[in-house]
Amino acid sequence: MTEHLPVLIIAVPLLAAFVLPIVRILGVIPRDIFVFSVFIAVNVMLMSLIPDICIYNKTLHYVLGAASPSTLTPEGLAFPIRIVLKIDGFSLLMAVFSAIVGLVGFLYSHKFVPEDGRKNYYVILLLLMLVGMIGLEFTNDLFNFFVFLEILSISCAALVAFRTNQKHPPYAGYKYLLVSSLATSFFLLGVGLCYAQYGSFNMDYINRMLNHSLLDRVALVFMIIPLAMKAGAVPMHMWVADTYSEAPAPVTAMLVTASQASLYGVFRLSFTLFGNSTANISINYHTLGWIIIILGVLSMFIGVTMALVQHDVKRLMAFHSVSQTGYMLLGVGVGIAVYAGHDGGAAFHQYGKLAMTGGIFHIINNSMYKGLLFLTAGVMVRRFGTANLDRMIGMAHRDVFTTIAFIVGALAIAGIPPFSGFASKLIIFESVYHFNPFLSVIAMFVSVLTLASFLKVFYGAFLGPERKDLLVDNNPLPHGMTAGMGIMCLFILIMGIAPEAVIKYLIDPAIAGLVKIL
Amino acid sequence: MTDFFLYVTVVLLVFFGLSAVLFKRNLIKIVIALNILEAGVNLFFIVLAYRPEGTAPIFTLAPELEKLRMVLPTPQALILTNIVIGFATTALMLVFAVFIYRNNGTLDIRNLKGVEDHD
Amino acid sequence: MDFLNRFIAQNTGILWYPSLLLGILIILVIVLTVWGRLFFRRDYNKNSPQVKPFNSGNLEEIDYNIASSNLFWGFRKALESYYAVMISSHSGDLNDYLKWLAISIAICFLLIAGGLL
Repeated sequence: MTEHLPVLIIAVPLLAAFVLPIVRILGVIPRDIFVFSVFIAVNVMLMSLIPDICIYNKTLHYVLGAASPSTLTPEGLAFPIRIVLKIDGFSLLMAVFSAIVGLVGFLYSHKFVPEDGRKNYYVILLLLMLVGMIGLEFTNDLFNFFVFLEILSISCAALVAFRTNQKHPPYAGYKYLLVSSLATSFFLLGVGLCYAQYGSFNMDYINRMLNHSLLDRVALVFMIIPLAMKAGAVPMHMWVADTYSEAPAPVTAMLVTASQASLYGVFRLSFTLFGNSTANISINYHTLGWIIIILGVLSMFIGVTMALVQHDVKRLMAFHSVSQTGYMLLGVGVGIAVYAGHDGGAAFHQYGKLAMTGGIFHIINNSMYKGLLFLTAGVMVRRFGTANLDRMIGMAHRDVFTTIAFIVGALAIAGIPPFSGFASKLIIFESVYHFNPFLSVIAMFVSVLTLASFLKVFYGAFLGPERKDLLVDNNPLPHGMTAGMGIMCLFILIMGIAPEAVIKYLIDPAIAGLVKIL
Repeated sequence: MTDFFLYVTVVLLVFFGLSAVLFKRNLIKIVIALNILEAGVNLFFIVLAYRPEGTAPIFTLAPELEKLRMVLPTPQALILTNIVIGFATTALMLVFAVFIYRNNGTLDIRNLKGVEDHD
Repeated sequence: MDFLNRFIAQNTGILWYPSLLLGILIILVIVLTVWGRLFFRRDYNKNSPQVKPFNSGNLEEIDYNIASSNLFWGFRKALESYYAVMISSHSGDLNDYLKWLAISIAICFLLIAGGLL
């Protein structure tokens, strides 16, 4: 049983999604219990993998369709022929946090999405989104990666456009789907270029055989740039604000993790597929690192300056998720830039590894606090019936829990101790300073502007006199929404107070999974 | 030589598809352009696997190794998957286009900014 | 002691004791509360007009608050030309969005052609 865990984690929500119309016949409450237990089961299965992978530093391989799933080359062949799932620290880290955000999103949407006959489709798409995220984080097969990417984009787009009777959501869904399918088409072109040379889709096999020809570099560009677009890096970020702001709040929280799954693709491909730190022939890591750093710095700066002037609270937060993506790209980009230099990895050990720690730590932090902020934005929109900050006032008088959750999220994203954003940002500042002080200064400046723009939201929506006439919904919050926000707050606090434990047990194995010259 | 022209066709299809996505203003036309681009990518995989005068890799009596010219089946199977995915994408985008037309009364992206409260 | 070390950032080479900071924060809050209870003003009355902000000449309660879109007006005014370019590029026009993908890929190809990547 335990050896089949990797495929069960993907198969259980996938099957549950297709069984759901049958379960719905039994009633709404059995449906909710069923889906809740599926989310819990996925979380538990993922957590049960943590000891093996993160503490004993194993890498799990699962060969689909083989007689014995753990042998990589079943029939004594020299190369793997079947689809291989490979779980190392980085995959597991991303999958665990995707599953947690998925659970929170489901809890939050329990009463948030009205039970009007379409809720069933909503839950199915939520499950498919989880399948897409976890699948693309687990797979070691390029074509399989592409398929899961498409599952993810189709379910995301359908969820973004969920409120089809309103004016803008269908167009937002159209935008998301067009951007995604254009990106995945280019990605598939890159996969084809790899397949043309090496005759396999297995990442590890291609990495062993890689000869770093011109075609490989073209394939690298065709894979990295579209995935960066899906992750929302400047200058390809404009769709982020338009789509995030139209989606229902729990979906937006999950869209953040969906974007980070694409970011996972960027890092996974630059290290595991194209990484070659020992051979003399290699792609120029310094240039690749600088491309990613420039994308990151532009994302940070343009994202935050655009967020500062927004009047729509969800657009403001969407621009912040662009800005936070910049931090991750910056941290890991510095790691890539010094990865295979001529100094034999001295710079990498001195500060590159630390920068990557910060970048990857920031990924999981961001999935928590950005999700939390989008959930509080959902409460604001529910209360006032609009996302316009000018027409909100005095929410702190009646929604005390939401106010606390918002303060926790806003302080975490601005990097104020003792919340988790401070830990990762401090690591990024300190390590990037050794690489290039100027980048570190920009990162700090962006952090200040982040705090300023959340001050604007706090001032606009929470402070001020209580105005009952502006409220469109005066009911107390459903418990599901409170529970969702509470879980997020808890994680932010834990990761802020015990960052060293998170780094030791989650981030270091993730870096060990990516980097080969430890 | 046929190979060369097939690859040229792939490049042309991708180029035309991309430029139509970038310059067409009608949502339905953008969907068509995306399909052309996907067709280019699909053709790329098929051309990779194709061998002139090759046979299907199903043998009851295997010929000698020197005479063996077979068409690789794996990319064709994968492209079937991609065609299905492309079909799903197209269907969903057209559904969105219907809803956009119903709610906004236009399919021209110049009139459909989708940015309401933004100055 | 090993358990306690998990709460202190040390391996990363950065001195940061979040648990210590949290302890100091709690102590500060307690001190402030006690101090406030003992020495702060006693004539505070929530039901009197003294809690309302003073705004001369304007008696409409609604207009006491500055609209949040007017916050950071100076920042925005100072960077007006920057924001003119930025906002026009976030217009919601789908073609403009996708052009940047083509441009980015083209720049990377130029880097490859220049032998940099």
